[in-house]
Amino acid sequence: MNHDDNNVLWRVLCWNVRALNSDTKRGPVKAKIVEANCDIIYLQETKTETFNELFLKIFCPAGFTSFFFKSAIGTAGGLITIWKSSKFSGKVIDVSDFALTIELQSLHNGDSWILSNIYAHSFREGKIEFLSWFESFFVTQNKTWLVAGDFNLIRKKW
Amino acid sequence: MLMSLFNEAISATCLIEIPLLGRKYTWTNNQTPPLLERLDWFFSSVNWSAAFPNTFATSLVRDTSDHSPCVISISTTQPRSNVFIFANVWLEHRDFKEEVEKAWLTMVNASDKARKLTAKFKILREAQKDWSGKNPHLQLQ
Repeated sequence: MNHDDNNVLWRVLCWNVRALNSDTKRGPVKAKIVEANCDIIYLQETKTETFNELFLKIFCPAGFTSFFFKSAIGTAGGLITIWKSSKFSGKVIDVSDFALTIELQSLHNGDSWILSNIYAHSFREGKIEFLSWFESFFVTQNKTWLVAGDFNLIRKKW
Repeated sequence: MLMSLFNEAISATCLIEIPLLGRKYTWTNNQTPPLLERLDWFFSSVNWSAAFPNTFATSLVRDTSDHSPCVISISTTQPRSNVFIFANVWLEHRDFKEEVEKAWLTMVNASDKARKLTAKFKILREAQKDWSGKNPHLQLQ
């Protein structure tokens, strides 16, 4: 089966980048975004307090000019969701300790989707806190929802 | 414990896991020997799966981070399977033997017998696909 066929409508790059706050990281991050050939980017653990369009230009290819982010606390955590402004318009739905949830609307056909970018704590108490939030936040809903990210949890042992 | 809590939470939300193709792990601790785990997950709601039944994830080569970059591809159509399926009903068709002979006797240039056999099977497979394609009643329902 060909998994890279022309039927793909759009792609989302989802990646825990482990910091964007150093010059050496930004070039390789940009290269991966180009390679992913994506329309939407979810990054976790940005370790970055604030973003602006100028900073985005350093690690994003042209066209990625719309974004929402959640600040890192000191140099811990941090999330950003970036999209091609030529394809979607977006608004924030919810920001929590663990996720950035936005609604994107297609400029092409007006369809809209909810996208959650997740970064869960890596320490035990934080994981339990995350799970209780996760269950209540995503409990049986009828939205067209895509949830992705670094959950810091395993589903089975190998 | 956390693992079962996670699985229970997923069940409770009714979210559906999006498959990651070609990779079992998304994270390494970069030690020798390395600890490898799958920590990155992708889920969709029931509505999403209905709207985009062909949503899947693949990964890129990991280099600068301890996590692999993953790409979720979103599509409405199922990829067309290229698997050859033989329908037993073909055996009963009067043209079947002739069609097989015609394909099998096609000359092939191959350096050894194994390659020649493989090449012949390939030609036969394509010929059978063509033949059954032209006879709709020979296709599997």
